[in-house]
Amino acid sequence: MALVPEQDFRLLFESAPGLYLALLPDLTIAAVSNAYLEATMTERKKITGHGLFEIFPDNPNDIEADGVMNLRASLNYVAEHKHAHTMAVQKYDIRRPDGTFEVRYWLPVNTPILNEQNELVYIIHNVEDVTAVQKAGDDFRKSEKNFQSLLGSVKEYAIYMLDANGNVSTWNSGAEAIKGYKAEEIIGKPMDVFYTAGEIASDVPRQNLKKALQYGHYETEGYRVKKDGSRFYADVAITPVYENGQLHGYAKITKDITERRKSEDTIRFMATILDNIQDPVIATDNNFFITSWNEGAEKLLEWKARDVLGRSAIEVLKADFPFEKRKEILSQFANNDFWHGEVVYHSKSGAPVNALVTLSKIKGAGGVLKGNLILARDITKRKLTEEKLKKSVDEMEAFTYSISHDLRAPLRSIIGFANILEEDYGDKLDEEAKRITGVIKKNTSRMGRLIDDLLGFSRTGKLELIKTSVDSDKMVKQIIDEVAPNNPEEKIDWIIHPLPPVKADLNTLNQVWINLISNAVKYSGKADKPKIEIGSIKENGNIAFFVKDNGVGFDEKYKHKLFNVFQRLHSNEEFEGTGIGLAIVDKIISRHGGKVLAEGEVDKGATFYFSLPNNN
Amino acid sequence: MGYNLVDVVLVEDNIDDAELAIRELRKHKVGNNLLHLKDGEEALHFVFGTGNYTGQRNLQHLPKVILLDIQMPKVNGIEVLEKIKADERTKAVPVVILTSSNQSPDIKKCYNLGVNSYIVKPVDFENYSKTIRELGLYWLLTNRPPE
Repeated sequence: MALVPEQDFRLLFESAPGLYLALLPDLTIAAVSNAYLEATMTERKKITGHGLFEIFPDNPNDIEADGVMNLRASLNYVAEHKHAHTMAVQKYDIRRPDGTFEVRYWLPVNTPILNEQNELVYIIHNVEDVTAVQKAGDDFRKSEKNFQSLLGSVKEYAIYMLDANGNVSTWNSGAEAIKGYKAEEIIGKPMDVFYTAGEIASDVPRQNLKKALQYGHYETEGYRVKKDGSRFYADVAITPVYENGQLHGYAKITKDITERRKSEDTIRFMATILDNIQDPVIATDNNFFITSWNEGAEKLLEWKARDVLGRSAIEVLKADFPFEKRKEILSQFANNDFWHGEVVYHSKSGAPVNALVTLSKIKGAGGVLKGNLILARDITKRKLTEEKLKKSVDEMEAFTYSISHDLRAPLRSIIGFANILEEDYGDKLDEEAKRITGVIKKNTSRMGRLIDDLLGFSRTGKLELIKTSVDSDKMVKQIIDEVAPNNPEEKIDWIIHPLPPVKADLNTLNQVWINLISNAVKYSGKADKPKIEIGSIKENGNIAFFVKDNGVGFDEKYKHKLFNVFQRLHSNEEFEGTGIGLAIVDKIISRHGGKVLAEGEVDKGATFYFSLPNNN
Repeated sequence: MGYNLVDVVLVEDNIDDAELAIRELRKHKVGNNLLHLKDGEEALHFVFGTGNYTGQRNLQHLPKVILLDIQMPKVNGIEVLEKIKADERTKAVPVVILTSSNQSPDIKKCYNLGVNSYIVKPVDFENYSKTIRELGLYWLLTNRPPE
């Protein structure tokens, strides 16, 4: 018994909620569901009886359109094999009534309808409109593509994937830039190549992956190896990636932080130094408001950093100079970006602090002024010492003055009265008495010379040195004329090499040459053929001069005594002298920052050298 | 010797220096009318006819030169110089400072007070003798004193 009257089957087919076409084996549209008409914007009477592809052609504007071809292939398959066929999602654009096309995606299923003789009578073409789903997929793929190109373009980070076994599976340009491998060189290789031999030996690469698995994410720092074998300090993040609950691989992000680490190290290093410097180091902003105050400053000035940060340095330091001086300092500082000088600050308790201060500007990148730096050195003790020293120098001066006059005056009388004795009583003195008077006079004269030389030595230490360019050639020639005018040229064989000009104090350098040349003349005086050679040696920008003679020389084992006051290696009978000359030479040269040196051999001669530094 | 005939006054507390100076001057015949005084106080009494010299000096007759040491007991040479040069009656007398002091403040002060010459005693005997000799010859023979 028929529950559905036969004429109602058409109604059922047409009203079914799915999208159905009934096709004849020749692909003529025999029937269509309302839902299909609606989805394809067609009308029943306009499509039934027409060929399928006449009604639904490809979008002529889409050169890649392959819907017709695919559908035809599927329908042929169904007709031939008499099996249903589910097609892949098809892009099959729909012609709107106005003739334009609308993008559509379809999931078609073609099912053969057979009669009792197993002959194909119809094909039911059922489609599902998956346009919305497909579009979402497209968007996703598009954004994934964007994401991939974004990853690829990141240069600062190596972003790559390892597969579950730890082999490289993707590679971006940052990875190439940092690690030096091209994608084709590294993909498929184990990640071990990025690690140092020591780390590989300790299984660090695997351990890192394990930690990432264990914690879900793992970050570490350490040295990594580039393709060329060089190392860089890396900041590494490893994240395991799962797909459907299975470990798919690891995402690795590596950044080269070698430079950052260097600057961090430098900052730590500087900070450590700053805190360990005994001297105050104070930084301010451009308006002299304190921004940094180290331990040295805390100690010397008694203020704690927390009490002074943000306060005006001028107000905190309470420098003790008049307004004019402050103005002068600030104007010099503004012109030169630098000022150096002595200042009296005051500590928290108000105690004066003598400081040697260097003011400089802190400049950032591009020369932008970031503030000022005040480096101070406590010279309070030095000041005290200087005052004491000045006092003792003053005392010394008074003492030498007293020597020169109070000790010298009695000598004048001794000689004077010995003279009177000779002149007025000469006829009453026998030879021995006259000899004795002579001894008195000779020794008194000698004492006078000793006092004079000692005064000369003491003055040498006090004279202000005024350095000018000295013509050594001219100076030496003049001195030779002065100290040896009575030596006929043929008596002393002078060998004078060209001498370079030097920067030195004219008067004291003259004294050095006088003493050395007259010594050479004196000590070679007893040689058969006295020979004196004067020359210079240049070494490391220093100039050393020498005076060499072939005189009596000296025993090298006593040479440490040569430059000491009153030390002589010859008796007064052999060679007249007070033992001051070389001591004066030594003092003058050391005040110039130079050195003296003597070489000699008994009866062979002596060479005296003196150097003057920084004479380029 | 009458005090009014004195033409050289040597004010010197060091008697040895004084003796050597006097000998040198006499040797060259310029020290015959020389008076040696041993300190500044006595020098002032002599110049102004006071103290022991009261009534014994006519201030119209002034010496041709006064040789004056600086460092002396009681009144020093600079004070003596100052008083001589400050007094209308005596300021024309040539005063020569003959001293061991070569300190510049002393020298400047003496010139400001009107000293006629400032001599630092040479420390060695030869130069000392020579300086004294030249001094004596110059002030007593070469130089024309005020009448």
